[in-house]
Amino acid sequence: MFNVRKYYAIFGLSFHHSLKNYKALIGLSVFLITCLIIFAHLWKIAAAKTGVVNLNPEQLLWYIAFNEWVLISIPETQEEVEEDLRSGRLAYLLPRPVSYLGATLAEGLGTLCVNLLVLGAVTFSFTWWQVGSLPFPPLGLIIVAVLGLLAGLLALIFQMLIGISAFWLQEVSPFYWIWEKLLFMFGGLMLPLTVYPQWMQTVAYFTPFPAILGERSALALDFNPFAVAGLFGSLIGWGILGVICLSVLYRKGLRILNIEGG
Amino acid sequence: MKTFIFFIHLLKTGMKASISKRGAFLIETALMIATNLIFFATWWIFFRQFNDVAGWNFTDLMTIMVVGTGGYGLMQVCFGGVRNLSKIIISGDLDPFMTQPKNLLLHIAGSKSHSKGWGHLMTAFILLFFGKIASLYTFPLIILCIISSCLVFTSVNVAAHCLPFWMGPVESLSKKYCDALFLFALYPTNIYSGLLQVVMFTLIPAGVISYLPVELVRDFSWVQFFTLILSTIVFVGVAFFIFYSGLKRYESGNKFGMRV
Repeated sequence: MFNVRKYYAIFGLSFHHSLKNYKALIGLSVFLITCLIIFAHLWKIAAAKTGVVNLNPEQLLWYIAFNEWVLISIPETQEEVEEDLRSGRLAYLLPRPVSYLGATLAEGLGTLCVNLLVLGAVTFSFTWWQVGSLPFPPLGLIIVAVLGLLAGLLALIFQMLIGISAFWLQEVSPFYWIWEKLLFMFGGLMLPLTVYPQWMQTVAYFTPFPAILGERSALALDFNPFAVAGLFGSLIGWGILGVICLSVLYRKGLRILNIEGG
Repeated sequence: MKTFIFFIHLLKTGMKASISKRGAFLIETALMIATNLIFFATWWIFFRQFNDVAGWNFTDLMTIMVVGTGGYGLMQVCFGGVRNLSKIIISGDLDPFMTQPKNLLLHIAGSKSHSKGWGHLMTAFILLFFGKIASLYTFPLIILCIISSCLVFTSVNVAAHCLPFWMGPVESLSKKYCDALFLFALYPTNIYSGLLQVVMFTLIPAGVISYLPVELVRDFSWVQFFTLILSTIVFVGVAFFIFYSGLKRYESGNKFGMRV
């Protein structure tokens, strides 16, 4: 219980810090709306007109909005982890009576929650204003919010995993770019998943990407309790796997850090 | 001329530093090629099913990839320092640069060369040669487009990373904006119209980076050629203007530092 309070304090600090940085939130909101308009246009031309999307234009905008909302809210935690490792700052963080991974996750979660709240309000208001109606039941909205938080947390864990690859690599950004491209591709952001051959769609469902983006957003528009339960299971399962990988790799990395003297 | 010689020396030092760790350099280069090929594969799959997007076919998409990845890679190799500009401003690290009698923006831009840039450049040349999109006539044009795209990418990166001068610690926003530009530049940009088209040629100049080069390679016209050159010059000019306007608002950090 004592430990949880420490991480909660870190979470709170990060939450307040992100909230105070309102200029960044305004900038992110403008950026989100720009991306939303561009992607909506791209999908309309490149996907909807080719008949591979079974969503009407209103639903399509909501789908893209839910994708963009989570995607832009995820903080770039991998860069902070990379910086801690490369600059040797980790040596100063290790003696603290909190786990480095736990503290980083709590800090990232604080930023993620503020981003999700503010950008969520902007996305919802803008999309509703554009479409003029909600194409899903109110329950769908609650599901979207909870699933959005879980999806953001999962992405955060995987980005931390990318960050700690700095134990072995000079720069982690190439790994991040691969993660991001796969997220765009298998997450159904760039193009709808239905555009890809069947085998690729099958591969996609064995990755965490559809759960983070496309599948989650599509679920809000076509509410199905069994699918929601499945998605919850998928997000939690991938999250547990990510945490296990994170702690194993972190311990291995620490051994290298000790040998090289930090 | 002195500034140019200084920049060349800066570039040589940066490149040597970036490739000094051979293993990491090779891994990063290979990963960047893989990243680009994943993106390329997505479009390949798309164009196999649907032959064209608003009149553009797969060859045009390859031209976009060659010019986009080539320009982005060249920026990371030659002007990689601009990617750190916002961090430098936020942490007050401009001081060591400002004390030296050199062009400040060029000095910062040339202060770092990213090894992953070579991965992007190699992707461009792999696609250029294996995709057979260039003829003897269009090859110099594509190279020119890559240089122009590099300058536009650099200019937009400078402008975006200058945001902390006015908005404080918004490094994440600057990075997201620049990454989004790279992403949109690799999409077919001929599909936009109206206000969105204006945005695509100004705020997110994916149109300058990919639309004009593709149109030039498809059907050369002097009007479009000069539009490309003029747009590039304007973007570079605007980047310098934004940087030096923001510099007036810079509050020096109080930490000691030196550049060797």
